[in-house]
Amino acid sequence: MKWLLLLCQLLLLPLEATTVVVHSSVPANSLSQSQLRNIFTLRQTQWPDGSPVKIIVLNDNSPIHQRFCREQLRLFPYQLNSIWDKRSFSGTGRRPQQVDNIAAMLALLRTEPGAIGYVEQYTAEPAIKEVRIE
Amino acid sequence: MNKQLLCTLALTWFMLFSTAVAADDFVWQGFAAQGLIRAADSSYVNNSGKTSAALTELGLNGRYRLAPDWHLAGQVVYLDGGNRYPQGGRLDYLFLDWALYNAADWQANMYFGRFKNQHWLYSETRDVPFTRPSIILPQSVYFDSFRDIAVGTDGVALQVRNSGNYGDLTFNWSFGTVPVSREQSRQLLGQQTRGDTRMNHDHKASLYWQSLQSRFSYGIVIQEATFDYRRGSTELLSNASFTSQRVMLTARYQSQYWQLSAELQQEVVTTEGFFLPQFTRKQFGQGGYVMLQYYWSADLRLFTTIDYAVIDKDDRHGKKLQQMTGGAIPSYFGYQHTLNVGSSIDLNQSWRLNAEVHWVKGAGRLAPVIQPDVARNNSEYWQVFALQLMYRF
Repeated sequence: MKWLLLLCQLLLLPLEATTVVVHSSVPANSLSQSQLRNIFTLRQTQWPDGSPVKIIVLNDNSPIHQRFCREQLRLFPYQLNSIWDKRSFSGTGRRPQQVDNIAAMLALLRTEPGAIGYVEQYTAEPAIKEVRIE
Repeated sequence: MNKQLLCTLALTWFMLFSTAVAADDFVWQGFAAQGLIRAADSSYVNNSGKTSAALTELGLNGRYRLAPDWHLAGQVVYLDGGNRYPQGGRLDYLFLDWALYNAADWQANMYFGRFKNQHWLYSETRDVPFTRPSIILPQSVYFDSFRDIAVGTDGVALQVRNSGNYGDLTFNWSFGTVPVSREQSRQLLGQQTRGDTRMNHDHKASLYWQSLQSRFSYGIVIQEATFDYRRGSTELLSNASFTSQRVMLTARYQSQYWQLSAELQQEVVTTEGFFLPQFTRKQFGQGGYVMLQYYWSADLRLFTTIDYAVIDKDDRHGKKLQQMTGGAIPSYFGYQHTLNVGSSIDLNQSWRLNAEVHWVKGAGRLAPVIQPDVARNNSEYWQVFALQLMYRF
């Protein structure tokens, strides 16, 4: 059944890559895939200027979140969750802020310096910038 | 740690941080779990073997940003696990976290105070019901009676991380000691002992590699701990020293719908004294487990574990143990093998229900370990049924 659903998804829905976006204060225009993974797995917690990284993610059951995890991080959502639990319950890290939808993510990205998140389609605006993944 | 001190610490913690600091600098979370457990034909949970509610876990933790590179983190818990570990409150960890280097490819953190054991696959999360794979973890590695000794250490620790095209590498090192209460000492050595146990040092190092090209990760752990026992004035036992040296290999494979994890360990336990002043013994214990978890859906997970432990690798069936003690300790105290199946259901983001059953052969991982409770554990085969409802906030 799962394979059938996956096949339907592949045939019917064009898979758009997610776009990584950050608050305009973030001193980076591009990140390597390894850096992006380091950030979302709470290994790198600061931007190059020393300011804290603030991660914003959608809920686990969001198809955009699932696609972001697979395509950009090469991880499954449960793996990320387990890493976040491990870091936050051992006191060595802080769980990312979870939001319900893209509108809430954009709202936080506009107001939180150091914030990083992702969207399906980026529309240029002054407070948020796109980050290239190389 | 006594309850008054624990309450004071917890209250101070929250008075200091929950109101007086910016919300962004302080984060906290907690968990509460209650269950039912039954381990007939053994003293694993209680002495009666009847269904018990001694499966209570409450915890509260917080992390406060003191400066961009410095954090203070702590967790207090209350546990009631019956005979599995001493009942009461504990300070699981309270440490300063210094991010001494934090760049794109390299990061390093040092921890000062009481920090969590970061070396095993589930050692950081074994005390949090939501984050461990099963209610009871494989006893070959996560021996319940050693819970308080294995969860955290008072001292200093270092973690260095590097990432590149080869994947992610994490190196952990820690050195320190763990206070051993008289209750814990009796649980490990024997309820009739009257002396005190002190840990001299606990030294651990581990290296983990997660490949980017595959879904495998691998790890190696080495550790050494030494203990002294000072006999009570009225007992016939002698002063003693115990040394435990463990080497462990870990591997994990994670796919979209299932996960396989395994940890294998060999532990050399050297005993000098205790039964007699001139008594010496060196035992090579071995053990390990393989756990398969299947994610049936986003909310339902099924799991099964095969766990294997022998106290002495040269006496896998416990025959020498029985002979050496003149039959006083039956052979099945020389090993403990377990098959476990279970499931967990996420009722929503805050609630989870876990249920599992363990079929056990042997009593080698039942406390106390030095002087086994032969009278209460008079069956080679026994089972554990456990059901636990968990809430996180």
